Amino acid sequence: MKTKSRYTTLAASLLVALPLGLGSVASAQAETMITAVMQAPLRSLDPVITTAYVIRNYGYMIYDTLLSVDADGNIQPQMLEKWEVSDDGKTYTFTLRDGLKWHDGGDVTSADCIASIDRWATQDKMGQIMKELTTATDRIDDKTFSMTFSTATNIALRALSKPSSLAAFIMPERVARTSPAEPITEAIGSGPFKFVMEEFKPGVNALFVKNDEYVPRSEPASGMAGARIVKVDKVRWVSMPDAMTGVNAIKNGEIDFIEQAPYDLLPLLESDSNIQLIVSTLQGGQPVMRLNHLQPPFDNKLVRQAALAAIDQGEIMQANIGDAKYFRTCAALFGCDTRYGTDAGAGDLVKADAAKSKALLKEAGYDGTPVVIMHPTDFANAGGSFVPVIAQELRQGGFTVRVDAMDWQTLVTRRASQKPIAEGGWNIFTTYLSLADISDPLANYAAASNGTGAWFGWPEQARVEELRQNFATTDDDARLTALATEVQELVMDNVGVVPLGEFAVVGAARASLKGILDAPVPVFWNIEKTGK
Amino acid sequence: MASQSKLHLFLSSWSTRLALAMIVIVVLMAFLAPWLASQDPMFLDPSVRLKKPSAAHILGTDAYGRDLYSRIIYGSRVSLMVGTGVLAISVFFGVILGALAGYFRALDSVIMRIMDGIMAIPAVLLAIALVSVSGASLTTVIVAIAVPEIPRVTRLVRSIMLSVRSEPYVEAAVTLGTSPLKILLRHMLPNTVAPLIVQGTYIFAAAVLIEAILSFLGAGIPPEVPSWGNIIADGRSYFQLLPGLVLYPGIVLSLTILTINMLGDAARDALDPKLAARN
Amino acid sequence: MLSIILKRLAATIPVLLVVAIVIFSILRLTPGDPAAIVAGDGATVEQIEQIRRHMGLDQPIPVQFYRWITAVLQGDFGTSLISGLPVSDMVLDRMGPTIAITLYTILYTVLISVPVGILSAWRRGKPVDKAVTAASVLGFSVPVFITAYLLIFLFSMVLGWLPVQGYRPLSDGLWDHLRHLILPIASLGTIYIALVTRFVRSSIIDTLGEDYIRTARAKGLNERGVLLHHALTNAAVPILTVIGITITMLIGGVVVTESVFNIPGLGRLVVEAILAKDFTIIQALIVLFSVVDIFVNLAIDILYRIVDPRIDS
Repeated sequence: MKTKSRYTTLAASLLVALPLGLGSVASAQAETMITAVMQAPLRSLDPVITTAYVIRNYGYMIYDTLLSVDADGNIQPQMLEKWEVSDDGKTYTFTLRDGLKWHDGGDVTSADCIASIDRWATQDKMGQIMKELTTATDRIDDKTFSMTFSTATNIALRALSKPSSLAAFIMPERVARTSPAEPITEAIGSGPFKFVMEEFKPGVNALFVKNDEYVPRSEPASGMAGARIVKVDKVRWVSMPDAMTGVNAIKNGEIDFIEQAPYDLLPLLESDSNIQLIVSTLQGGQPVMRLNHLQPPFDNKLVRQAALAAIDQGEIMQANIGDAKYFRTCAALFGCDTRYGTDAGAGDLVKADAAKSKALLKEAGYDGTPVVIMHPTDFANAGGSFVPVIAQELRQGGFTVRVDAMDWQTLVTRRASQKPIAEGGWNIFTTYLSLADISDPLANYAAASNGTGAWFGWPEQARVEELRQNFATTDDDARLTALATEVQELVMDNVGVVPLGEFAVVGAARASLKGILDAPVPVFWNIEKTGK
Repeated sequence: MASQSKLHLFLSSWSTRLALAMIVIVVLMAFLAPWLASQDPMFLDPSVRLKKPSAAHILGTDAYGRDLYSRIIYGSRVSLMVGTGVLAISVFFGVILGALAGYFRALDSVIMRIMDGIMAIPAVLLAIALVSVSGASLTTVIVAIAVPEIPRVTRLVRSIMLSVRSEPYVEAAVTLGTSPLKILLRHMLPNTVAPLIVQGTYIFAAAVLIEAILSFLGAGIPPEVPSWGNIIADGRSYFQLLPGLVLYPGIVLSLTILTINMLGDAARDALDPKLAARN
Repeated sequence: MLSIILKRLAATIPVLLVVAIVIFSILRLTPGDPAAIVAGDGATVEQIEQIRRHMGLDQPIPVQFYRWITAVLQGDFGTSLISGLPVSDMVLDRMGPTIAITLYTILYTVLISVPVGILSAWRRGKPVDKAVTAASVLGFSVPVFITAYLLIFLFSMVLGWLPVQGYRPLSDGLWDHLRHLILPIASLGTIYIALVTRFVRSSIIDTLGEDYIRTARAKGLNERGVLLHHALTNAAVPILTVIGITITMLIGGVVVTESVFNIPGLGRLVVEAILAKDFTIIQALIVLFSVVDIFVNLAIDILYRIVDPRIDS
């Protein structure tokens, strides 16, 4: 009797304790994880030597930046406590805030910053201009350093806060000392997430965990600025071989987030109450068509202008995006609805004028040599879907067109060639620039017109370069607007680049994700996951 | 006389006659495409993209607003060209290499080692690699698909050569001093005709299939050119919106491959007496 | 026996060399330049050259080949040109799913096609046989991705019984692991069942016609006895051949299947590598596949001799 009752008591108390015990164990183990499909699979880990947006997004997970831009377009400190400008405007002194630590221990110091800025500046176009203007970089102490320029300019602030390609991520000094010719394979940063290297499968899977030692700012999150508070335990990036699989996966709850949902499949997601669509114009893009100014026939300005006239933005955008809700025609180099965006001088660009195109070709004496468009078949957003429409429009405008299909990697190689077609050259390629990249006239590398030193296509207009230099050395808004307008008119006339419109990106997330920020780059801080 | 009865045997089953009729339809589709199609298969009209079947577009439109029906009709051309091209190249080189290997002992091991090497590489991967070397075009795709098929033909021809070599009439010709070329052409190679016809149909079918796979993986014919594989690859992203984009060309593709394989079976039954006894 | 094995092993060496040379040359002839890809958009010509030197791509081709071969023989497959990570790690990571699919498909294929093929041969000419023959021609004529999409549509979207895509390793639980592989194996299996059934059927029919079978029948052995004992044993050889060939062909099918079902295996890895011109991965994987193929065939060769000691060469 006694034994039995003792056992019964024991059993009863166990029965009570067990659920409690299990409960606390369970809640301690109930980790929140966001499974996301980003616009491209993550294959490599160096955000400085490539402009690929997915690697930039990866950079924001594990690295931090000195400065960032808030939702109103103002430059705010991020890793910095403050900065001071000398009276003559030529020297900037930067002071780091407290609490910044590397993922493998150790404080972030100004030496790390100087080395990181140096490596980044060799690759980034705006950074290169900044470097040219820099006369001295001095380490003052572990938390402070200064940069001195040859003229009064706020270029350091603009370049270091620029959200996109390339963003000035701060890395440990020893990593930043890697030559830009060698890709970085480590993932040690000071950002709000840590990278789990053991689980990294390039092209398939990348795992990030919350960095518990990260000290966020105290201001509320706004744009890229403010507090970067991580509210989940893990984020996993997975890849999908095609869009349909991704859509099915999010409907089934197998994944939580798709950075760029395919436009045509949105109706399947809209009707699902478990899914929220996230329309982002900030993360949107400006598709562009680039002509090769060095080789015939586009070495002739009239022929270039004929191509501009033959283009119909509306038709091109419709073929790629489909739903008019998510795109618009826009002839501004620097983006419509942005501070410096204007469509001055763009005349024929938006609508097709085949007759004018033919007339210009005749005037130019076009002899029917085929223009070769490179068609990336594996990367729709980069122009894969635009090319057939462009080809048809050009043909209707009197051009003879040859479409060369290839994968994006081959295109990237071939567009570097300045040689004639017969030796592996090209006449036209398409790609897209994110709106974050084009809105600052200095950062917009498509507008650069310094001949063979410019972005592929190599337009040459000395006056444009003069004007662009001036962007770096003034911060008077009215002056900048005037400069931007003149650049726009000149580039349009010379057809340095052909903007094809603007599109908004539509992401999809499970309804259980809350706090998704509207920023020029998709970021995972501030997001919480409530349930499934 | 003998060949007449073989033909009779070939045509004896209703399923073979049906298959033959279907192939004729596909061939006619290819030749008469400009008249059968309702519009230019390459003509884009984004304003009518992804529409369901209607009077204007009897099978609907694709993501560029191109007419699906017309593209499928023209797609038959690519499939037939790929099949024929691959057949021609693989048989041509296979016969030459097989004859050389089978006749000249010295060349045998070298040739067969190389053939073994090529056969050890998975055909699809070899084809993709070859296409990425030379860029995507109809010619490169044909060559890329043909190369992995050559060893099979070589083996077949070689084994026939080896078995025929010891035949008395061949030995007699050798003794008489007849040139090797004449021996090959007059006495030995004719024995390969029947097996090559059978093998050839299978190669044709495999070529059509592999072209579709290459296009599906994004390593095939340039996408503007309508090939059934391309049409399916384009349509895969919209499968649940408009399954027709994948299924219509898919059915036509499958039926074509099916009928060619059936003809191959029928040919094999008709031409190989031992096999005929099975059925 | 041992000497035969050694001889055959020795014979594989020239074949492997041919494979290595073929793949290496194809890759070096491609117009794509991995240095430019790694260098990224904003690179200048000097920067691309720098990267090319760092990758060793500026050396003459025979030198590159020699370096690569000696490294491989020491077990070093190099690092991915695009991501900089060791190839052997990437291969080990993604081996699991491909091995799973391959093994299960072979098992599934053999379990179904052998009995069905035998049945078909036994009942030659009857409706059962005709049905099987028709079904098998259909089976290997429909491309695997068509079958796959049809199955996904029916079982995942309409019925909701099975997941649309993805892979779960065995460590995630047996049922989850298998659930995700049912549709891929069903799609792939259709083709190989069709092919192997045909082959089994014709092998059995061939064997049934042999003289010694007639003798067995004349001696009074009943049909089932004849079938089971003699026919099977002698058909085992060609059936083993087919299984060997199937394994080689399986890679092609696995590549497409992994793409449709989003399975992170070697098939997808190699296709992505080919499209990205990541030479080191492509070389390593194709050599790996070829080695597997050669050794599988060697193993089958040996099995032949065990099954039928009469086989000489």
